[in-house]
Amino acid sequence: MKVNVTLSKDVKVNALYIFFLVHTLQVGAGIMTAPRTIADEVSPDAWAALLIAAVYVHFIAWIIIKTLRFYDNADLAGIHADVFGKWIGAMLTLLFTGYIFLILLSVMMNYIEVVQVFIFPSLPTWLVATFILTLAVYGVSGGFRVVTGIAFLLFFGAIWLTFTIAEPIRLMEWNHFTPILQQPWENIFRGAHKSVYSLLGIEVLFFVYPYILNKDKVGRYAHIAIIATISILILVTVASIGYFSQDQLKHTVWPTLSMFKIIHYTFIERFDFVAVALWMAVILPNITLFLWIITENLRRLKNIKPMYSMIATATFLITSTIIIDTRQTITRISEWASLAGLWLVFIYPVFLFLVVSLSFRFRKKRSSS
Amino acid sequence: MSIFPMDVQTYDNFMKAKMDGCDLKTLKLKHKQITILVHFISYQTNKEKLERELLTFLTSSRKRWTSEELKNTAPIADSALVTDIDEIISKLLRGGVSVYIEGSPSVVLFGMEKRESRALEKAETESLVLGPQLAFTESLRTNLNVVRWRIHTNDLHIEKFKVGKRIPTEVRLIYMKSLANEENVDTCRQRIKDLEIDTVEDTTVLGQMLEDSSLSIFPQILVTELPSRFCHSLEKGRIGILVDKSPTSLIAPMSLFSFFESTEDTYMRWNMGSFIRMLRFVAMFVSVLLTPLYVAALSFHYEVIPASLLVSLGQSRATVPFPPVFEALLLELLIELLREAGARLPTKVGQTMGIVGGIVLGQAAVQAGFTSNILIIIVALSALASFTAPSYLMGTAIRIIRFPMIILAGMWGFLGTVFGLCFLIIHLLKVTSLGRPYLAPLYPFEWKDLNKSLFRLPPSRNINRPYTNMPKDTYKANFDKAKAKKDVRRT
Amino acid sequence: MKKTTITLCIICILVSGCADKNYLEKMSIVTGIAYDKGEENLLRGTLSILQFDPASPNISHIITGENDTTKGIRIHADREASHEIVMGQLRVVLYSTALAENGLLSLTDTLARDPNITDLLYLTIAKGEAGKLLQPESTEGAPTPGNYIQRLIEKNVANEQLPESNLHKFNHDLYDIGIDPVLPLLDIEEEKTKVYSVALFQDDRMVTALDPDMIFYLLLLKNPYRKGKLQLSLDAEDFKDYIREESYEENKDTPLDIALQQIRSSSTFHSRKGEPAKQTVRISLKQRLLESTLQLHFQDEQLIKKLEQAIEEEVKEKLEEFMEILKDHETDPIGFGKRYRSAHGKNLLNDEEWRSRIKDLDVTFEVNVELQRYGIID
Repeated sequence: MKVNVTLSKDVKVNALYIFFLVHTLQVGAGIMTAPRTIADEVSPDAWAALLIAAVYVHFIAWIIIKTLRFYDNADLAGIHADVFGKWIGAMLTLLFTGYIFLILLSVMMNYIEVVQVFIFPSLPTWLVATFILTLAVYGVSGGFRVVTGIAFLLFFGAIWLTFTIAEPIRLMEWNHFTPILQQPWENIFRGAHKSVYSLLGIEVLFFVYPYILNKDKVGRYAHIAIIATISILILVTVASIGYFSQDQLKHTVWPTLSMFKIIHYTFIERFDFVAVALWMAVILPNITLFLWIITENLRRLKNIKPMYSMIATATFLITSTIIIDTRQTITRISEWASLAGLWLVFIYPVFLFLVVSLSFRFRKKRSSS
Repeated sequence: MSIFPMDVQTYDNFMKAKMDGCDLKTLKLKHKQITILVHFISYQTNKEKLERELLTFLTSSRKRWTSEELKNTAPIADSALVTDIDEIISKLLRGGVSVYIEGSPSVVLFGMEKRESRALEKAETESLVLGPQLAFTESLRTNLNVVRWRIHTNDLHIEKFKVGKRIPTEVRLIYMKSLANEENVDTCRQRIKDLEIDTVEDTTVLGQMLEDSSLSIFPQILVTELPSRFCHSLEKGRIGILVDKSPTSLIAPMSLFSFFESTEDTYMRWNMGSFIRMLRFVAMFVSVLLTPLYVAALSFHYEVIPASLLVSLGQSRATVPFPPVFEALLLELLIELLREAGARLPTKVGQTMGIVGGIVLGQAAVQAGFTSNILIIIVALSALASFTAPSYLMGTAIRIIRFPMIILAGMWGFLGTVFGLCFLIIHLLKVTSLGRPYLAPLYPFEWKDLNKSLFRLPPSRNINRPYTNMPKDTYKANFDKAKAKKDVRRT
Repeated sequence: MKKTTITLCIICILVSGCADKNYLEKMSIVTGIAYDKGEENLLRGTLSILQFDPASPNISHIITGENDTTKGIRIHADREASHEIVMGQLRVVLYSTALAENGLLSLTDTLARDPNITDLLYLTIAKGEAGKLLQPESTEGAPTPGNYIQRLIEKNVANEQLPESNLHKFNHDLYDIGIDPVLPLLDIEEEKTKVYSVALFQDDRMVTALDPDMIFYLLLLKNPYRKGKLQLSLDAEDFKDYIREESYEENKDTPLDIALQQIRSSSTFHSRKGEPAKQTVRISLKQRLLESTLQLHFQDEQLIKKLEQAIEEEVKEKLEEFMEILKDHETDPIGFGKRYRSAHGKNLLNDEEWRSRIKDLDVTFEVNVELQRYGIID
């Protein structure tokens, strides 16, 4: 396998789109439930926990880009093959692919559950999964440019939902936040640890890096994306802590969506229904991008045609949704995915960076001597 | 190896045999002991010209004719010496006159075609309030004449093609040499050359064959009957195609947004133009979404209906025996029927049709309890909105998209609607026009082009050609001096 | 072959996957529910429903059912209605005082759990029998009594005559530490449903109905006013110097009644760490005097000063009276405990501890009144 990916200029995109890729990936996964999990640990000082998490995510993004900069045009599969050799490298890449599959499944199942709880209690799970995956397969079959386009356009299709939170924010009670920073530090760090889950998605850099035209700007847009995600996450978390009372928030499964329940306009009485349906626009970029990463990894590893691996993955996903259908299993899968994410996305890149930089130093020495 | 000179009688017979059933007329003239054969098809040639200029000229001469001499002295511009029989036949069929002088080594061909064509008229399908009203006609020559008249520089490049094996048709690829992107021109040229077909019936047909994706419902090449729009597009670096026998022209590459541009936006002041253009985009959304949302809300999501609307909606629905999807499809179909019937009938009858259909049928349907009157308003509104698209094809595409959207909304409510919308977005992302992205300048995002597609800016800010067509020269205008505007000084 | 498979798949999806339909005109849409205590510990529900019938113009109906749970009532009511009973447009829920005094948690919990039910739903208490309130003679143009009550409360909340009392707010205050929820109290009089007062709660149990005159002081402490209204009667004797003579002579024995409008208020709470029951509240009021029963010389600055002082004292007195009610019933709708916690630390006070200390509450009020304008004529 070649370490660097050779691509024609036509399939590459501008670094600007890194912002949309990273941001949509981070936001889609956890933001529905994030305020609750974070607030469980550090109710009044959640913002501090989020800021700490943000710093760490910035650090990881920096490390990932640093690692990628060692090569001209490599992705994770290429780096793995380069530093760990063919077999171990392929195993590690497969491990990552498995994690992506798991998180794809958990994102999708969580959304389907929301749809079933809020709008259509009797709609079969596999049907919604078929909906989403049809769109995803159709999108991925258009190649990376279309995948990026979906992230870009649906970002604008969904970002305006943030502004509708104005109404819950108006009803916020500020005394839920005072006194400031009274929580013990260990709680704040636990909160930061919890909030890291909703910041997964930075790993996408490993896979899309070869597809970027002006690589010098990747870092800039990745960091802007993280800032945007953190801002939205802080906004939503702070809004839900202010809007719900502490015990109420503990009982609310999807605080972000529950906040939409208070919003109503003269022409729409219940905005939450619209928001839940529109949420498909939030998760669709996730699903397409994850599916693309899976097919891309398989193509890199074994040269499997994207169309085959895509259809196979989609079929496998739909079958899985039929098998796992209870709340407990979904929660467990989400937990596994989060745990895998914590290790693979927030710990492993540091290790990989060390290995890559050591191997490059070693090679340099050998070539000079 | 020329077959000439040959015997006059043999030649005549030969020609008659070759053009059996083509209404070939033969004149046999004797002049200074030489037989001269004149062949033509009477209704294809300009008889007056033939008699006055050629026959008189032929018979009044005192010399003995040779082909060479006739060609050089005849007062007719379009003349040639030809020995190829096929060429003679094809010219005769298009209104030429062939003259064979006994013993000559070649035939003289004169172009004297008479073409019946209508005069230039006002545009019908793309009517405008302001600006040039002229429309193309069926004659390629007239059309080329109009285009050349509008852009009279040597920069305007016209490439000639003949497309069609059985009935070759003249096709012209037209672009501004200094502006049009060469890759685009190459793509276009290549696609025209690669066509192996019997004939080109019309520009619209050629357009369908040149398009990137035939499966898509969205037109990827603009069909316009307005020379002004055609030339505007050329000036923006796009490529135009004209086909003989067709009153419309093609323009490529196009993006989705340029289908909603009307030349009128430019003729109007920028703020009005922007408003009207944005109105059209809103109209497109209304047209695609309004009926599906009605269906979704009434079939599944009664919760979202505000209390004030709930009663009037419920009461008007109470008598209707069908589910909302069926009701909506019925009405949408009714509107489509009215439109189609109106288009097929002569204008005067068509108008009556519209009134009868619209008012009588609608009114009766509501009174009979067949549909709710609120739905009538919604369907009429969305039909109206779809007619605001300046391109007829795009308007039709939008009207057709409504049907699957209504069915989706009728089966899965808001979820189905969002699914449909997402599908449309992904589809639009995948469509290309001459290999260029269809959603430009939105994606790939081009900030500087937004003011040319989504809205307009005052002229002094509008100094670049759209980047999305990748013109060779983007700089269009300089308003530095004109901006000062200090014509009148108060003293 | 491939095409047939695809077509078959599509047909499969279309046939099996259609979502459950809720056709608007085929449903009984509940807009209001009233719960009463029925016989033998049963719950009696009265449902105000909206139902579209092509034959009759009457769209508002009432259904009653009796069962031991709220869901049971719904099932019971389903037997009476030809259309399916749905809750998606529920606007108001009324509980009888008797029910409320036993605790509402079990009844409101199902509402909060149901994603079909909006958070903007109004919870209210009926002074007598709740079912009767849903059957007034006139609904003033609202489609159903449920919608009428919703409009009634909505208007009063917007005009700052009632505290916000939607489902979200009730749950919010119920689950919060150091604050008790309040709900509006409705009554029916001459076949017309109207707002009577406010019900005070101890957690989810109603403890008393507030005197209607006291609502102003409850709201004054709960929220800042932006355009409040108040009627006060002061002792006319104190102002006899400023009263125009002819007016004074005529109404010698009547008190001086004044109407204040456009009240803008703000209040700040102060307490010291470790002493949650001892709090100081600083209130400032800015308002317009619109009406007085006696003719006063408003140009006189002395009078304004005096008036302000008199109002200050009156307000203070009433506030202290109001505090006595709270202490008597051991309820804290203002959230003194909550404010203490947010000022000094969330871990300092829990719910039970605060409940036991409410009766020791010692609140000092410092009121500052500013009269701004006095109508368009002097």
